Amino acid sequence: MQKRRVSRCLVSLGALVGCLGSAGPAAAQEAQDPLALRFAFGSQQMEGDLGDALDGAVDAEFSLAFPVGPVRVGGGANWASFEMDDQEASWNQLRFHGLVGYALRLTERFRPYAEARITFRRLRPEDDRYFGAEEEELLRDFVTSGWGPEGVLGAEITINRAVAIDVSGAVSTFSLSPDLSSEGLGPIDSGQTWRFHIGVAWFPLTSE
Amino acid sequence: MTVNITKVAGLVAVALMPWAVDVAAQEVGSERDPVAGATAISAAPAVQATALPEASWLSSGSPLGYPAPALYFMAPERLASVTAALASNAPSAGPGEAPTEAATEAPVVERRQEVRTDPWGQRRNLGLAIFEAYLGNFIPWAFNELNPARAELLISQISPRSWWHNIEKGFKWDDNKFQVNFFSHPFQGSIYYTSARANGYGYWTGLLFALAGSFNWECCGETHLMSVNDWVNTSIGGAAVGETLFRASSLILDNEATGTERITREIGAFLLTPTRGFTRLVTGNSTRVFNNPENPADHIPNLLEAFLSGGIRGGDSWREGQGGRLDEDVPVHGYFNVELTAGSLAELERQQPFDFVHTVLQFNLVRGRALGRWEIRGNLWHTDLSRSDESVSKLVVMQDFDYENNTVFEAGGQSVSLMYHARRLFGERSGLAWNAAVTWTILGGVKSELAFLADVEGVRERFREYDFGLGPGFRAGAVYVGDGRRLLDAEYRIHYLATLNGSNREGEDSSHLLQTVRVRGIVPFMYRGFGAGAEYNFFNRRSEFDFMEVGTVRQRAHLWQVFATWYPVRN
Repeated sequence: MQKRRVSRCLVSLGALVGCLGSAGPAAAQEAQDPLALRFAFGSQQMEGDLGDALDGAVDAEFSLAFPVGPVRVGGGANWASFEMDDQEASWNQLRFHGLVGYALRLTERFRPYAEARITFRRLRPEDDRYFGAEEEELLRDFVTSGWGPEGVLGAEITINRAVAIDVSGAVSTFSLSPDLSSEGLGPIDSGQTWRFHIGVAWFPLTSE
Repeated sequence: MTVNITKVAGLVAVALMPWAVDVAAQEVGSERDPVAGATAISAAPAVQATALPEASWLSSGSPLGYPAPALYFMAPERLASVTAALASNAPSAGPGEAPTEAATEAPVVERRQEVRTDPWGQRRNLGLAIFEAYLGNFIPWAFNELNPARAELLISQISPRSWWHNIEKGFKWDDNKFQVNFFSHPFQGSIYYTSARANGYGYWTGLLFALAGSFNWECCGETHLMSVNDWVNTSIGGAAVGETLFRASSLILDNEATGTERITREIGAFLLTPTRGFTRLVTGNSTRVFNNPENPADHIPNLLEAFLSGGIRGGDSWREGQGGRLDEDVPVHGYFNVELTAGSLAELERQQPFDFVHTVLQFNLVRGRALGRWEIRGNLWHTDLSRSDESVSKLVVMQDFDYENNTVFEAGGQSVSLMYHARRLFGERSGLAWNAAVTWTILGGVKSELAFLADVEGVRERFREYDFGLGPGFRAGAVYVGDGRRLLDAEYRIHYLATLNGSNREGEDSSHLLQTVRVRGIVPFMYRGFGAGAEYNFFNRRSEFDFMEVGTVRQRAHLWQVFATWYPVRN
């Protein structure tokens, strides 16, 4: 139920971004810089089925986006390491995303934006190989992956024409395939994440 | 409508000013090109599309009567107004009238600011350079993650946790194969280095990029602990490899070419230095027709020698220690050699790293050891000691990159040398050049009997067969040129490597004294630069091991090669 609600919200956000983009005036087009790069750190909280097994994590994300008409189109990746509830083990999450975004240049310094994303994530028990046997071996080595939508609301607070502080929040939902029953974790096959990010947005092709 | 001659002249003068300053800046060897307006270069493609309907303006001279390149160093809005004013002979505003759009352009002169470009007209762009260097890490990481064969290594499971873990643990030594550490990593480093070079920066900034890009990979691109050997080889080796590839791509590029020739040249340069190709693509320089660098050293040096050869090679080796003697053969096999010398040490003028660069690439038809040798020598600094019509002598600081990998020995590393170089001419087309240098190996590697003892922290993936070390050395060489063609060259090198990691486990010491001799003779044919020749290489290693009282191990290898060559010289 919760998953359906989140999905509906995300679809609505996607539609909003699409509407804003299609109705965007010339001024909106100016808000899209030639090339946007973002690098951010933040906190990611897992909920839903997987939320029962995994704690929150510090994550990092990189995105780039190009202007296409009045919207930004791009992609990126996100990395996180989730610790498991009550166990000395962790899960690695890698997530790729494609995005369509729309930025408003409300003032010279403040640019709120909305993004709709499609995500592909790979989750697996983290291998202990490079962590010096600090953890117990929990599961066999395997990767489970899945798709899902994500919605992002954020703002760029410009420092100069080429650099901005980027603050954003996001919610996503996803399904995994196959489920993790065979791993002894029960019928886990989906999850939702909430995350908050702060980082730097760079527009390298924008003239100083 | 009357023509306001004064105003037209003023506009032309404004337009000419960047060009005039540009020429002046180039005459004094500066890389600083003044550009009027902040968005001049980045917006130039749009300018070309809108204000320059005929591309032939740029190749055949401007119909406006001033040098076409000035158009490219002009703010787009001013360029549009200048061309509009010239086209319509726009009158100036009379007393009491609002100034026309063109008239309001006059204060633009006061807004002039300097934008740095390199001799190829590439504007400095720090953001794009960082983006390309970052992409140079992102793509290999994604390859490691998504390629099933690489994913098995489990090195791509990165996260902020692994980043912090790696930084906390600090630098260690790794156990990668010799070709990975001494060839692949420098090649990877060339991506970081050329990211800076491709975006208008020079050698030293490129070196900083290589240091930073490599550090970023070591800490955050994989779950491996950070390797100090990777960092040194990737950054310092990356600068040598990167600058060589950058110079090689400059030989191919031609800003004035058009059509199929232009496309072919841009693709060729892209393959040699992808970052440069990418930069030219996104900034529009790959399709824009404009001036080539004025200084030949930035494009096609006055002295350019290519030496392409192919033939057969073979040899033998023996090693001797307390345990007895081991004989090994280098089976006879085919090989081909690509050698390029760009610039002349004796004729170096400006202080620009790698205005002289000499590189040798040898490919062997041997499974698993296709790249047999890669050598790079490039100048970093120089000063004349004496100069006359017949002779030149000078001191040069060189950067050296060495990689040699065959079935009997592996040796290579990053080093710098202080070299005395002299050249004496005998007539117009013959001469002798010789040099002697003291060297310092910053990080070298050599195949060693006890390297498997190496102290490698973290997960051991294999037993390393070579030691890491550093130390002083000496080399001397000579080249004889007759009738404009290289006929004979020879080099002797000796260097000492104190083992940093490898055979020196548990506090026991080990060291290696390496000597190489290389002699080559060429008989030129009368026909178009063809010739034939022979080369002899001698490798001598004396290793001292304290560990378990192994003592001294000596190795000698003799390698010979016979070849046919084609070596055109542009002089």
